[in-house]
Amino acid sequence: MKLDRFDKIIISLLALSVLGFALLTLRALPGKTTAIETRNMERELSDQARMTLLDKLFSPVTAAMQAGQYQEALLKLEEVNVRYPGEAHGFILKGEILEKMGVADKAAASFVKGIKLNGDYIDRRSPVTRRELVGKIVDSQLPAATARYRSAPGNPTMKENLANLNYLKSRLAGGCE
Amino acid sequence: MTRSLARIPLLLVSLFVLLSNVAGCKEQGRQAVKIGYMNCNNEQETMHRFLPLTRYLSDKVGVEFVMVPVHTHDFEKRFKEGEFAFTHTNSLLYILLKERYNLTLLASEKRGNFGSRSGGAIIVRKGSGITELSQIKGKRFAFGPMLAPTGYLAPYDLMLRSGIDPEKDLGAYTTPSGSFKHEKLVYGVLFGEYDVSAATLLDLETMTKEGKIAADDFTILAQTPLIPYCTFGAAAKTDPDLVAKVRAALLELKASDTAEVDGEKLKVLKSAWVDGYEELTDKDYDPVREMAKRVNMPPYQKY
Repeated sequence: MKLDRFDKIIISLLALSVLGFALLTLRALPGKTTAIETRNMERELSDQARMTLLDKLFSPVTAAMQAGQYQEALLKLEEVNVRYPGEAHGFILKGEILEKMGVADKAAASFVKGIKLNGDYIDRRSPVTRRELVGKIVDSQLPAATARYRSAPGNPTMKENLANLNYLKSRLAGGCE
Repeated sequence: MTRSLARIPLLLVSLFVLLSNVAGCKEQGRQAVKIGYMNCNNEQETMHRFLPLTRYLSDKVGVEFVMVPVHTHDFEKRFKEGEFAFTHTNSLLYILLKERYNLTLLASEKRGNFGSRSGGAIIVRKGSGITELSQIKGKRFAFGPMLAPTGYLAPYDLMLRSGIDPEKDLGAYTTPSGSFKHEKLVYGVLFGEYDVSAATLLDLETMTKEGKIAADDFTILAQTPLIPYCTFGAAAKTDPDLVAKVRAALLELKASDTAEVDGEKLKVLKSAWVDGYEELTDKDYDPVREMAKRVNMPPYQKY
């Protein structure tokens, strides 16, 4: 097949286009990786900033908890909650305190509120995870709560308690909101 | 024709009389049932809190309920005379009426961090130098009113179980006078009128939430076990169907439920400062019974 001048021009232009596309792709790839790294970094920065803020805001509460002064910790939590009433971390700390005080049903209810607001508290990879404690509450309370509900199925309180424990169980198993 | 027209006014009068009678019968059919509410701080506050709840019960059950605020110390006498079909009292008064008059347990009030239960605490002002319960010996102490489960009974019992006899070991003890006794216990310690006092956990929680006190103002020396708190009961002779309806209405009560008072629609639970109602069993009140026996209080008092 004989190529005329016009064919040669088209082939040259096509070759140039393919080369240009290849160059553009090669240049674009490192850029994409950088964007992913940036997003990861932004997320980590945001997580760390949140953790730092939570540590600062709730430090009086955690200090009282560490000293074993659970009632004082609850009162200090009330003070923080006045300023940040819908914060998931407040519900999680309240759950921890109530569990320490032996009020497991109210602890479970508080964990449910916190986890519904922020699933990080049940995520095993999250720095704020309370997965182990939630699992402990579910394992220790669920059989008795089920038996109590079966003995009085019309009692709304027992129904609510069982529903809370089952919700926590489903979240531990990987169920979503 | 003229004769027929002349009969029309007579017909109208007859109809009016008939309709009035029917309305009167309906009004008579709506029986009035009294609910005795134990005053917590004072009568005015009790009326303000529980009138919407009483109206809600009337609407829900279809019976005309009348709320009667009652002084704690008059409650038993008036109940014994048959004045109330239903009662709203603290857990100690519930036990007293249960043991002596077979009061039926209806529902328990939920409020605050511990739901239908609350406890008492023994508090001092932070920086007072008192850091342990054993150091309250010889100090000026204030209790809540004598029939208060978490302001008197539970802290008194806690002291006895900790080896402190309030009758012998305290410098002096008293109860604040007038209304709002529970808040006075807290303020009394804060402003130095007493060295130590018994405070209910619910009051500490509420006062902190309202900004009246700061958590750092006090040291909690000891805390009592959690026990049931405010309780609805029904007199033994009250119609069981009515008892069941009132119990169901209380347990179904939601934050969004309203009742009309003086032409204004009010949220029932919010007005009553209550989170809801819970069905406890009489056995759940056994810790209160044990405390009353140890402290030698009614209905187990021995002379």
